[in-house]
Amino acid sequence: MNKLRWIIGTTMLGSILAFGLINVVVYAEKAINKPLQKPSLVYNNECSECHLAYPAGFLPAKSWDKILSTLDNHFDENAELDEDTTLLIKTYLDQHAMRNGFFNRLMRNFPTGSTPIRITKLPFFLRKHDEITERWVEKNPEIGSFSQCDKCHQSASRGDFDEDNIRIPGNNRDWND
Amino acid sequence: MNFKSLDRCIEMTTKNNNYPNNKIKVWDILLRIFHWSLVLFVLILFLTEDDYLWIHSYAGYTVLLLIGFRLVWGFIGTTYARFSNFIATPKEALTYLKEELSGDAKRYIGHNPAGAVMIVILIITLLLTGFTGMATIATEGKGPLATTFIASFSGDLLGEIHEFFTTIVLLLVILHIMGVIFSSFAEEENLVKAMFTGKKENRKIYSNNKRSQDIKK
Repeated sequence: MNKLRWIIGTTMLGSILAFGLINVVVYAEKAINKPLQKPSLVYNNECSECHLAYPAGFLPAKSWDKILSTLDNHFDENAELDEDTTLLIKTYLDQHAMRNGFFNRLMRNFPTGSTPIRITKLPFFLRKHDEITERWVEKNPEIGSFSQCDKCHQSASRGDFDEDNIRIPGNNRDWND
Repeated sequence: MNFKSLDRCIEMTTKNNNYPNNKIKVWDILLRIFHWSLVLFVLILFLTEDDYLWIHSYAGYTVLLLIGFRLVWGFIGTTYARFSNFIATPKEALTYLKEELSGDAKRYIGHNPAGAVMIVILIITLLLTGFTGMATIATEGKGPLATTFIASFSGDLLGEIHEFFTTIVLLLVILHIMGVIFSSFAEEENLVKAMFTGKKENRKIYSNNKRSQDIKK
């Protein structure tokens, strides 16, 4: 009985730790090596005239589809493209779109049924920018609208929105939380 | 001279002069590995709470499994690892804390009553946290509970409950660390080191609490 408990205990603890450590390491490695944003030349060319080509992962596929199918009235502009180009962009965006609610916190608190088309109105976005005043963005002649991410987020084109790379034009200081 | 300080004198003399290298084994190797693994994985959980949710989930499962191990070891393990050695009522815990504050707490070789109560509360809270976490992802069709009735609950609500419990865990951890430090000073023994080496000083102190199994004078 004395030896038995050590066999049982060691087997249990050993296998649990192996399970835990291996999984954590495997998923940590995946997370670290995840590419920031796989670029698409077509998407970048066609869709960055007025604003940066937003990372595909910021909206779910159904949102991109909706936007692409209504390009003739794209936020009060006509942004229509020919069929082939539109299809190319749609394929790219769908492939890299936000996968599903849980493992992407951008969609947290968003009513599940609807199809958002404004990244800047996602609850996650609003929460992250709740300390940014109108004066800094809308009334700032160098920016004008929250849709101009790359005006403040210096590495936005790489898909990197890290806090360390923010500089708000018109402010000399770097953004410090 | 009152008897309390006389006892202290004897204890100090005994401890420092007669048995300088005499240690007793208290925490077995599996228990110690369990304890520090729990620390590691709970730390990982707190670090991965927003991003890296795959890591978070697996660390969570590991914590639940570790507790499973502890429950088993609490019944078949070595003397001081067994629940029967240290499980105490909240009243005993309060008595112990009061004694600590007034400077004459009894020294327990295994877990003292306050530590015992902390263990029970921590285990329960960690289990609740883990299960509400699994319930939350179940509502998104993920994890082991995804095919059960739990998947039909509100994910947001479950998420809030889960977060609430994690705050409790945080508070308990802070209390636990404070308690260990405080007891270390009160007992004049490095309890953190003891959880690494597994050994405590062999002191000839009389304690009439049978659970403490202290060595009698």
